Amino acid sequence: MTDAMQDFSRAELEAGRAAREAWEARAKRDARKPESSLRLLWTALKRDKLAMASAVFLLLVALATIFAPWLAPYGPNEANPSLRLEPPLTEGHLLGLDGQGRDILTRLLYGGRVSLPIALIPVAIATFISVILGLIAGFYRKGVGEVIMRVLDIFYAFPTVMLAIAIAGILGPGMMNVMLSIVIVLIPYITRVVYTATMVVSEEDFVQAARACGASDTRIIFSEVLPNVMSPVIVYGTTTMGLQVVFAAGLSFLGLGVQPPIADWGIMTASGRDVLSVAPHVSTIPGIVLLLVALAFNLVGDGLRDALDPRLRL
Amino acid sequence: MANYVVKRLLAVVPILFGVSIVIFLFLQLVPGDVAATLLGPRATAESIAAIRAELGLDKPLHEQYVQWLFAILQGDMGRSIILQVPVVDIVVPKFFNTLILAAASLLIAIVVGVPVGVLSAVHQYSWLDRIGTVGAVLGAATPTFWLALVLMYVFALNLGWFPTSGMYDLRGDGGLLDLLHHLVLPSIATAAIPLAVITRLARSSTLEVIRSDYITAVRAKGMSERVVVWRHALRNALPPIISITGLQAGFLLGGTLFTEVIFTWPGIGLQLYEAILGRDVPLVQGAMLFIAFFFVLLNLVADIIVAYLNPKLRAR
Amino acid sequence: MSLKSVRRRGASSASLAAALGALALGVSAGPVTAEEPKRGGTLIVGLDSEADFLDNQAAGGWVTWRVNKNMFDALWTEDLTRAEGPVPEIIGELAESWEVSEDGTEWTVKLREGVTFHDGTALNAEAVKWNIDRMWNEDSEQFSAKANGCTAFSWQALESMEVVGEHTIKLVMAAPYGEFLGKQVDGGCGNVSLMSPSNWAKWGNENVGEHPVGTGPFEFVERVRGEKIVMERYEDYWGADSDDPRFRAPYLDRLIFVPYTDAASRVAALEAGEIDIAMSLPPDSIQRLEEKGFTVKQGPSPHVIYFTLNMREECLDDPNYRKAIQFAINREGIANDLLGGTALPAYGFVVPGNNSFDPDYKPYPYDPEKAKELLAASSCPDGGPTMTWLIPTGGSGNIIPVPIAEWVQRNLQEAGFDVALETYEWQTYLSFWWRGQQEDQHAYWMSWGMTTPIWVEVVSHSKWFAPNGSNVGWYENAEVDALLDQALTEMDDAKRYDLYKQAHDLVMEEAAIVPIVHDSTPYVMQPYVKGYVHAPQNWQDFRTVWLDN
Repeated sequence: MTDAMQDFSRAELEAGRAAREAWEARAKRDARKPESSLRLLWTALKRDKLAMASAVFLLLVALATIFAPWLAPYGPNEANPSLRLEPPLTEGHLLGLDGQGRDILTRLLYGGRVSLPIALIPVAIATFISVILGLIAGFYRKGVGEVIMRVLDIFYAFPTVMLAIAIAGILGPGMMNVMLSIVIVLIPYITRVVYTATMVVSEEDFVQAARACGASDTRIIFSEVLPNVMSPVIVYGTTTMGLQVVFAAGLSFLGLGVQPPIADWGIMTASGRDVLSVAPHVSTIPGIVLLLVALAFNLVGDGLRDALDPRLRL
Repeated sequence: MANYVVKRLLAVVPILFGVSIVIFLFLQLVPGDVAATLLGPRATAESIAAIRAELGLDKPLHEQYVQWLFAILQGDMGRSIILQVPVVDIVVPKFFNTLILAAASLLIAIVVGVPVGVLSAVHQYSWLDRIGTVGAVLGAATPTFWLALVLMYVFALNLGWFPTSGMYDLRGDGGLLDLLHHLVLPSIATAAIPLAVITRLARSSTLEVIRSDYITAVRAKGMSERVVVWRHALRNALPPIISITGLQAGFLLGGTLFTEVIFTWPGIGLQLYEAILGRDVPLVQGAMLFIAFFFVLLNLVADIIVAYLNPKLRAR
Repeated sequence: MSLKSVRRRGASSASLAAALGALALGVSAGPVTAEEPKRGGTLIVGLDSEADFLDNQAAGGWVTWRVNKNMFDALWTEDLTRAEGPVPEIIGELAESWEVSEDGTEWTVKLREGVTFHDGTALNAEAVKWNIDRMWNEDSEQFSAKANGCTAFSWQALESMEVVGEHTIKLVMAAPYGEFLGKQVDGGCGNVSLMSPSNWAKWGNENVGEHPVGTGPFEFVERVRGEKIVMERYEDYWGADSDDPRFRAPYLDRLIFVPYTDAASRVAALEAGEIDIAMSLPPDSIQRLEEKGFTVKQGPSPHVIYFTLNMREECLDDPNYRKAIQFAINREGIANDLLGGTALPAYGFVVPGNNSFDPDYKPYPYDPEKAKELLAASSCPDGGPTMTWLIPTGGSGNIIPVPIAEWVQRNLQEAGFDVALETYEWQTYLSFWWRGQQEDQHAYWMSWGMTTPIWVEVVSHSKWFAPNGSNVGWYENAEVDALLDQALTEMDDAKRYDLYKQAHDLVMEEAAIVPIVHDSTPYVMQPYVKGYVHAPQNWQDFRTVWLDN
């Protein structure tokens, strides 16, 4: 389903060397103005109304889940068995009730406290690790870099869904194991993004110049190369966040996620399957929330990407 | 060209070797004693030891690996612990079922995605472009398991147009029509994401080509718009589309899992998932190896096709 | 394609009245309805999980026996063609008659003549001995350790056997065994039914489960893993010409079992008409299917969902603490609200389909106040540590384990306990369960039961501590053990049932086992499925079923 890399619909990075050339050309061009890439992203976001609206939406969702205990009308496990499976707009229950008679809106708010971190934390961790790996591999292309990239090649040989499920399934259910599986699955893909960008940047004049001035490798990597590879990473990371939210929910849907009675959006969708034809709202509402969140992340990601590559905005 | 193919083939060997090591080591993480699980409730310590010896679990790890790999190369993937039949007998037919579903989904994604993407690019900002773009953005964000449930609720349970499970009607004699009837909903659900990806890529890739000097030159020659778009533009936009299609095909090998679970499609994803949950080590190893092998193969084929279409690449 | 569904809809409304009529009759009169049964057709059964290896003596689980029962006969069986309870009558199947010596140790069994296995092999005393050796005699060539483990309770008293004549065999017991027949008809792990020796010679222990050959009313056709198990009526079935309704040939031509591991898919397939009958459906969907005209049959069965408490854990070693848990649980709420009346609240662990069952036994009604009092009086008045309760996510006989466990968890929290649930897939879960409760695992879920009261011994005798038995919570009481040992050799039925009841009540008095509900094992079927009898057992006899379409 939501493979970490499918989102890179501008498949320049993965889709073959032809496309990579274009990428490299672009990376060269961007690299000429090293300090501006982060600011560029922000300016673009401000200009792109859809992306901005999406970012605001995500912020609101995040706040709503953080403040769930104050916002939610009921306790997360509070049940009213006599109203089991009542549909949305039941009095006092805007989005209806589930099979145990719990308020779905309440559980959605609390569910976000699992569904968002279970996906976003691994993306952050994987990005951190990948940036280091990618910088090293791209900078020392022979030797260490070669080893890193060959090992990662092995992980490319597994479809990501299968790999993640195998890891999470073998280690047993639980939030930590789901996050671990997402980290492992993402590293090869993000590393390759960093690697490609590093490779291009490290041959730029200003890097050569720094080297000529006698700057140490560490210094060159962190103060010259790193700022220049951050924009593609941020774009990739943003887009993949939406996919990972859906994917983590998918793992939960399969029963590999958090333990009851805590429920994330994936478990909520799964728990409604039994009553799909009696009470379709139990299953479909959490799915719609997932879709909206993923959509918002994608739109923000698109906005950022367009900023990197203004040609496509024509 | 032959050189290129050989070079790529050779590159695959170490990857597959690495894959086999990863799968083997990975399964060492399985908690619990496989032999005890195998024997059930009243197993004695001696019988567990006997089974361990029979499975070679008492040997050092590297010996176990060599033994395992050697057997695999001879086509022997061992015996499933839970199903108690040779792994090959399970993996091959289930994989074939998944191939059917993946191929149907990919077909939908290509047949719809490529024309919509190209036309969107040609008629940028038209209503088709808008619908296509919005659809692609939505499709990419859709949770497959949710879409599958919605499709089942609407088209199988409420309208009764399509079945909810399996590949064939057990009361009938099977046949292609029956299979297609069962394929409709699962393949649409599975196709949503590849369709979105392919549409977007076809659009952006065509846009890039259309604005290139080459197409401007072709246009200047006075060729009809149809020839310009479908012959010249599409051909140049094709390599990245094929490349990503190859990737999508590979991902579908694992990505059909959610659809298989919901529509009880007897594929390798569902089997692997159940094997993982049941800690059926030989079956998990066999299925993963099989999927990985085909995944690598598919990527290789896609690479070769791209190289064939774009001779410049072969030189590299 | 849409034509099919139109036809189906028309059929269902037209036969609704007929179905309701059949339901009313079916409850009391069994298969004998006003309508004349029709021969022929295929019945597709939706199973709640994939069956094990089809080795009748060594394969585990009720699901497997639900399948195998149609292909295999045993010396004795239960009459499942009638719904009367509390337990089905034990009748001779391949045993035509039998005599038991005065002291209860010698069983002389006369076999039915003219019985053949599906492969043509004749059934005689040698074949019976060969089969028993497979389960019992380690020195026999055909011995199967797994079959031995699964049927250990059935043959535990057997000392020797002797082929007396072509169709007569004598079984000699080391001691009288009161529940010998009760265990002979049990199908929990393996069943002591008979397989064809010549078929075994072809396949051996490793592969015989792929090629099941018995003497039952249906014979094996094919199996596709995860997809279907197909069988056909065996035309040379020994009971085919019998007037006895308990042994006559089935009406159905074919019987197909299809595994649907998850309940939602099972419901959908039944609702869409892809299968004819299904079991273990989520209670909410049962109501809805009934409204749509599907037939629902359920009744008391030998089934209980219960938690074993870990007697070795701090706090749980205090009876007051355990009793507080018992009083805190709203079993009526689970049975009636959550499960919509498809289960009975369980106040003891002896099952309704059992001769030692007492419907008025209710030591721990729902009383949250009493729970709080007892907790306050216990050695852990603050509620104790966070307890870990292990549950499966699905699996045969568990109904909807996660919602049920969440309900229990909520009840316990209301009474002042702190419970964390840990869920596992059923197979994995079972592998934990067999090992017994480990440190910091405070309670284990399980669901099963037997029609024989030896069930009490199976779960509470200290000689059956895991991993050698099913006492996974380490409950130990010399008085209980003594009662159970006495019951084992007691040949008088009434006395024996009473001894088992005494032992059971003692275990409950100590609150070592927390019963939750007894499933009424509802089967839901298309309105055209007729003649189905819901006997009080965990598996059913499909010979009475016929199709009205």
